[in-house]
Amino acid sequence: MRSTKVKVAALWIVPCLAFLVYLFPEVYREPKKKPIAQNPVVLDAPGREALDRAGQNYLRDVEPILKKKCFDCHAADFTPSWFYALPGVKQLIDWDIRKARSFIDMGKGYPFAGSFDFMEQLYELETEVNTDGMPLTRYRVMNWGSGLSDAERKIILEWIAASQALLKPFYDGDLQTGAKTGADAFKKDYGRPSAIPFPEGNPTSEFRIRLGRELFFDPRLSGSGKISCASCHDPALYWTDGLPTGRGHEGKILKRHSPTLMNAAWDSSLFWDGRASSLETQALGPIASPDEMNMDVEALASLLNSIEDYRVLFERAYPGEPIAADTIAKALASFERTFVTTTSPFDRWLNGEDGAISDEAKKGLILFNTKANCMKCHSGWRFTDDGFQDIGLMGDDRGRGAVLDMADLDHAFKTPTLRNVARTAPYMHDGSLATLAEVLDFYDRGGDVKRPGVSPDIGPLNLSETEKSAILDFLNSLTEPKPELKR
Amino acid sequence: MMNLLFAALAVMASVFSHPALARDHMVSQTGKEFRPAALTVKPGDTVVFRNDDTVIHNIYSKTPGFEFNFKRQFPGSENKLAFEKTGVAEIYCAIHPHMKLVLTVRN
Repeated sequence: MRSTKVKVAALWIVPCLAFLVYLFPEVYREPKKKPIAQNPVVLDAPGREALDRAGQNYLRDVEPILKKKCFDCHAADFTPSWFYALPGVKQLIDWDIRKARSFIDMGKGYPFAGSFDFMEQLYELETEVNTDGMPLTRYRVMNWGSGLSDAERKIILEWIAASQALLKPFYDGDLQTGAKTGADAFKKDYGRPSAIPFPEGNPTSEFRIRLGRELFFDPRLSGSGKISCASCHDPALYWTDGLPTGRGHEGKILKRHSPTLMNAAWDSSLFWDGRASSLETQALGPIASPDEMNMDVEALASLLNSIEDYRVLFERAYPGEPIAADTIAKALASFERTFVTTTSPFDRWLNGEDGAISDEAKKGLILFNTKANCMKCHSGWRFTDDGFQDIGLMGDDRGRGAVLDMADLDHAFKTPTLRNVARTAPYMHDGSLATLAEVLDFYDRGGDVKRPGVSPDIGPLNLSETEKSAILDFLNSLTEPKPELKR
Repeated sequence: MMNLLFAALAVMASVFSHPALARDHMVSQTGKEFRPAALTVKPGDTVVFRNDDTVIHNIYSKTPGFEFNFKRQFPGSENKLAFEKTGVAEIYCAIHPHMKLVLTVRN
């Protein structure tokens, strides 16, 4: 009888012991970093504003979830359950709470108190949510339903991603995930794509590029027989013409500056007013425009049909398709997609060559991303978000507003790339600013025109001459060797 | 007791299967993209457009029957719109034309 009791007891005790052995080793990961107080990340005013925004979003979206799931340990919010009175359990729970709050204390909103800075906190939270590392298993066993649901996980991760994007420009700390200082901190923002995107309707081929090249440099594409695409988009001038505004048919002075075609393969819209959504739709516009190349496109197709070399080239590039507006445009677009910038000192620095750019240029990059506010629009590896802004230039050109028939977008023009910007003067859609120094002065004084449509992001920047000089050094570091054409 | 249980289940079933219950859907503008970029809602549902970016957006649609223009939407702000008609609306940002949301309204 006694032996049976022992066996029954053993049947209970052994699994319980095994369960405890399973639970107890699960402890918090010790932070590898020094406490935040010894290694603070100092934010300037725009950075603090971004942190406030992330904090407000946290209170609205994320805190209600964490309150239910995390606050027992990560805030002074613990409501003891009956088992808290059990010897041993109390000590374990107290230890858990002490540790949890020393790492991250969520009691006063985001940024949290504890051992991590504001960006590391996002990383820590992201890791725990993605790995389902929190709450600890022993907590979940005693508090059923305390794990995160998929919907809650999604909300938290979206807030983390949005906050990381908000705060990244202001963060120069050293994340535990690896070195995220200096060039590494900017790699994600400015890293270049590995391949040129070609649309499904016009996949690339050697013959298409070759045909496009012949057409691009051929003045017979204009009514006068004197103007080619390259007249305004000269590779020797980084695919621009160096003039304030373009010269068209019979020398007509056009009203807008000839935009560069560098990296046009990635442009989400073309022309200063964005009226073309692809290079294929853009290509015929200047050819047919009476002010520009003044060439009837059907007449051009007939002309090209009469030239033996073109007949051969078109047949190789677009077998079975006629020489027509569609194939002319596709061939030109195929060639234009190959106008890809190569490697500037900035790219070399980004790839680990620390001395590729000066310390002044590095300061300029930080200013570009903070006080000068340039990154609001000149973002990404091309240094443009392809957006449209009224920056407060004088003039009555409606720009994007006329294309969309929206008065709110009047005087808004496309944000140009800054790749090789030191070599593509003059500047702005009307070519009204001759040098980069003039451009910086323009932005520094907050534009020249006050009207309702001017972007609220335009305003006096109060940059010192030293700061302007640093930004200029950074912009100069985006210059690469002149485009080379292999014919 | 069983009757009470069945009654409760019947009430719940009718509540959750009622087609006329309008819902709120959230579309975030994050990283100069719509998230999600495609959304299906029911007639009468409301879509909340929230600017989670650090830049200003201007959300509009010119799809016939779905025309609207929120004009400038500052970071952190929200705009709400109820969609009553069925169909597919293309919604863009006037400032960042690569931002596109395809909104399907159907029963």
